[in-house]
Amino acid sequence: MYFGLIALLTRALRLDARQLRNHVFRLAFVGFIYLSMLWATIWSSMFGAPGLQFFEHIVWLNVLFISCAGVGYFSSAITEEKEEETIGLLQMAGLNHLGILLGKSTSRLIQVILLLIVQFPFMLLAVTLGGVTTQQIIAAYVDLMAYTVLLANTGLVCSVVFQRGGNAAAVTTVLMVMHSVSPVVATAELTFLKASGWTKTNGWMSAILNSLEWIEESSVLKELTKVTTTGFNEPVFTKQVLSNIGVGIFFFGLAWLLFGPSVNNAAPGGTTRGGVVKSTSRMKFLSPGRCWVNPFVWKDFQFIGGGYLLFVVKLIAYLGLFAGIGGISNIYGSVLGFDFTRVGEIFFGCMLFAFVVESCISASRVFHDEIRMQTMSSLLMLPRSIPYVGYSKAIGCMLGLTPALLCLGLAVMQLNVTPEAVLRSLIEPAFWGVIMAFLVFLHLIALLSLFVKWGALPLAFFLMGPLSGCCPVAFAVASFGQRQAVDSWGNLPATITIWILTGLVCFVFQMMIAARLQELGTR
Amino acid sequence: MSSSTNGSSTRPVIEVDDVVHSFKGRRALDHVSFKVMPQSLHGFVGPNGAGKTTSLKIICTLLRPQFGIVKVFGHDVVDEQKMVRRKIGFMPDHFSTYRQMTVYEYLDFFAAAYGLPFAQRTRVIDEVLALTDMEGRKNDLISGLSRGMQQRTSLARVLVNDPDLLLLDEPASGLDPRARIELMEILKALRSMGKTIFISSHILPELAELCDAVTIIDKGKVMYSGTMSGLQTSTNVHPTWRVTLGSVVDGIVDRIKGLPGVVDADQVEGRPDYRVSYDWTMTDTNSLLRGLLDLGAPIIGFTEDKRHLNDAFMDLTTKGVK
Repeated sequence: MYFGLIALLTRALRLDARQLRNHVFRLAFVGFIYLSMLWATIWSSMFGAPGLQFFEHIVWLNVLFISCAGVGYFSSAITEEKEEETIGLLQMAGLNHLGILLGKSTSRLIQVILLLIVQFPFMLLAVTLGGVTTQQIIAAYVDLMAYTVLLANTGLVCSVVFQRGGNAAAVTTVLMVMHSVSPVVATAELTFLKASGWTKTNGWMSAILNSLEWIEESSVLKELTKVTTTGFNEPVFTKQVLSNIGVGIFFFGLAWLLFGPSVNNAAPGGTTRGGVVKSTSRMKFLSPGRCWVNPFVWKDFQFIGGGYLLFVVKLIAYLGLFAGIGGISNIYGSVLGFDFTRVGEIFFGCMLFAFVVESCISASRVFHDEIRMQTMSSLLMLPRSIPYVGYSKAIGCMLGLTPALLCLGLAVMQLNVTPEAVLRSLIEPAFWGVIMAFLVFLHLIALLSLFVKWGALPLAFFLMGPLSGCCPVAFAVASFGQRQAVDSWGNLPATITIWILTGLVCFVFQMMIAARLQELGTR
Repeated sequence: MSSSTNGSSTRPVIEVDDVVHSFKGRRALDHVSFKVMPQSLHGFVGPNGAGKTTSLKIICTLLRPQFGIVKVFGHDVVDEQKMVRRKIGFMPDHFSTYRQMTVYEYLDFFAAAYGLPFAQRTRVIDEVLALTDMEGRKNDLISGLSRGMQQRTSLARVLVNDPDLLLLDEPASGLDPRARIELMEILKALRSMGKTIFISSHILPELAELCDAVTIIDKGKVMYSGTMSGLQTSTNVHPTWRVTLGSVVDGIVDRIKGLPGVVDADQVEGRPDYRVSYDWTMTDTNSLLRGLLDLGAPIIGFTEDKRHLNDAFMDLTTKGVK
C-alpha cells in the first residue's frame, strides 16, 4: 500500500513541479503581493499602519482564493478519476481505498499549502511597514491552513459520494456556506439561551452552550477578523484551528468509510438528467417534449436551465422563501428585531444572491458542456453560424433564470421605494456600472470554461480584480459610474458611455469565445 | 430516406487536389490527391497518425486546407461551406452525443437544427430509427445504451438531414463483432439507397468485403487510390483464391504449386481448404481453375480470398506505430 501511495503522491507532486503554469501562477500570486505592498508603501504617507492594511488585504484575498478555487480543486480529487473511469485501474494497481484518498487529496492539499508558504516571507515584510506583528502573521497563516484542511476534506467526502465533479463542487459550496453561516446562528442562539437563563452550571445546558461556543469560534472569517485587529496577541492554536483540523480529519475518515460503497457500487453510465422528466414518466407534461423551432434554446433551457420541472420547483421554492421570511417576521419579528418592512429587503438580498449564483453556474456550463460531451464538432457541422448557436444557447440559459428574475422583480416591488426612484436608478451610471461589470464577469466565466476543465467560476472571480485593475475601460466605467449630475437626466450621457464601453468589451469576449469554440470543434 | 441523385454519375463526389496541411511544423497531409465516385463505398485506410482524420475534417469543412483544393459535389469546402454542410453527414471517431437526452430527443434536436419542419421531422426520425433498428430504444437515455447502440444513434443523427455523402471516421472501432456486422449491414443498405459513403477504418477484412474503392494513406501521402480490383495490379499483390475440396488430398499442395503461374499454395489449418496465389502477369483465374480441375481435385468451392487489402496495406505502409 505504502509503495502505491508514495508512487501516486510523488507522481502528483512531480507533475505539479514540471508544469510551468503552476509556477507562473505562484509567481503571479507573489507578484500580486508585491504590487499590494508597493501600493501600501505609496499610500503610507496618507494612512497610518500601512503594514496592517497590506496584511489585511492579502489575508482576505487568500480566504477568497482558497474558498473559490478550493471548492472545485478539492471536490474533483476522486470525481475526475470516476469521470475518466480510471478509478478501477488505480485499485487494480494495488492501491487500497486509503492509499487512493491520501494520494489524490494530500497532493492537492500540499499544493495549496505551498501557495500559502510561498507568501509567508513576503508577508513578514509587512512588519517593517508597521501596524502588524509577526505573531499576527503566523496566527493568520495557521488559521488559513486549518481552514484549507477543512475545505480539502469536505471536498474529498463530496468527491467520494458524488459521481460528477459539478455535483460534488455544488454540495461542497453549500456545506461551506453553511459552515460560514452557522457561527452567526450559534451566536444568536447563545445570546437567546443566556438571556433565557441558561448557565454552564447545569450539565446538559453546559454541553449545549460549549458546543455552540465551539461552533461560534470555528469560523475562519471571525477568527481572521480578530487576528487582523490591532493589538492581537493570542495563542496561535485557537478553537478555530483545532475544530477545523478536527472536523477535517473526521471528514477524511468519513471519506474512507464511504469510499467502498460509493465508488465500487456506483451504477454504470453516470450521466443523469437532473430535474428533466422523461416523456415516459407519469409527469410527462413536464418533460422536454418535442424540440422548439430554435433547438439550441430548447436544449439549453431543458438541460442546463433545468427544464419545466426545475422551473416550477424554483418558482415554488423562491415564493416559499418569501412566505417563510414573511412568516418569521410576523411571528418572531419582535424577538429578532426586524419587522415586515424589512421582509422586502431580505427577500431582495436572497433573490439577488440566487440570481447571481444561477447566472454564474449557467455561464460556466453553457459552452463547457459541449466540450465535455465532445459535441462541438457536430454543432459546427450544422448549417448554422457559431454566433447563432452561441446566442441561442445563451437565450436558453436565460429562460432557466426566469423564476429568479420574476421573484427578483417581486422583491423590488416589496422594497420601500417609489416607482420614480426605481426609474431614476435605471439611468444612474453607478447602477449600470455594476450591471455591466457583472455581464463582463459572466463572459469571463464562459470564456475560461473553454480553457479549464473545472474551476472557471473561481478563476474568473480571481482574475476579475487584476483584469479590472489593468483595463483602461474598467477605469473609464468606474469614473463614469461615480459621476453625479444635479439632474438625473444629466447622467444619461455617462450611462450611455458605460453601455458602449461594456458592449465593446463583451463583444471582444464574444469574438474570443467564438474563436475558441471553432478551435475546440476542429480538434 | 430518399435515394440521392447527384447529377452526372461520372463527376466525383469528393475531389481532393494537392492538399497540404501541417500542425505545429509537422506535415499531416503532403500533397494529397484522390477522388471519390458517386454512389460508391470508398474505404480510407492508413496507420495511426497517417492523416485520415485530418483529411476527413478538411472534407467536412471543419478544417481549412492550408494548400490545395477540396470540392464536395463541385462546391469548394472553403468558399461554399454551407452548401457542402447541407449535403454531407459527418460521424467523428468519438460518440459526440448528448448523453442526458433520450435517443428521440437527440435526433429531434439535430433534425430541428437542420431546419426540418415539425411534420417532416417526425417522419424522418421514424425512418432513421427504422433503418438503424433503434425503434425499440427511442425513449432510452443515450448514457444507458451500449457502445454499439450509441454508435448507431450517432449514425442515425448523421442521417436526419438525408445527406448524399456520409463521412464516417472509424465507425466500427470498439464495437463487438455483432455490432460491427450490423453496422456494416446498415452501410450496405445505405449504399443501395444511392448514398456515397467515405469510410475510414482499421478493420480491413470488412472494408475489403464492402468497398468498391479504397485510398491508402501513410505519413500524409496517398499510397494508392482507386478500385479494389485495381489494387492488386497496381501493388503487385498476387491474387489469392481459396479452393475447397471434398476431402484432404495428400500431396495436392505440391501439385498445385507446379501449375503454371502459381506462386504459392498452402493448406488452411488441416482442413480441405487451400489458398492459392498466382502471378497475374502469367495466368488468370480461369486458367487456374482449369489447371486445378485437370489435377483431378474434388473441388466443391472456389472463392476469391479477400486478404489482398491486408497485404496491400502491409506493403504500402511503413512499420511501427506513429
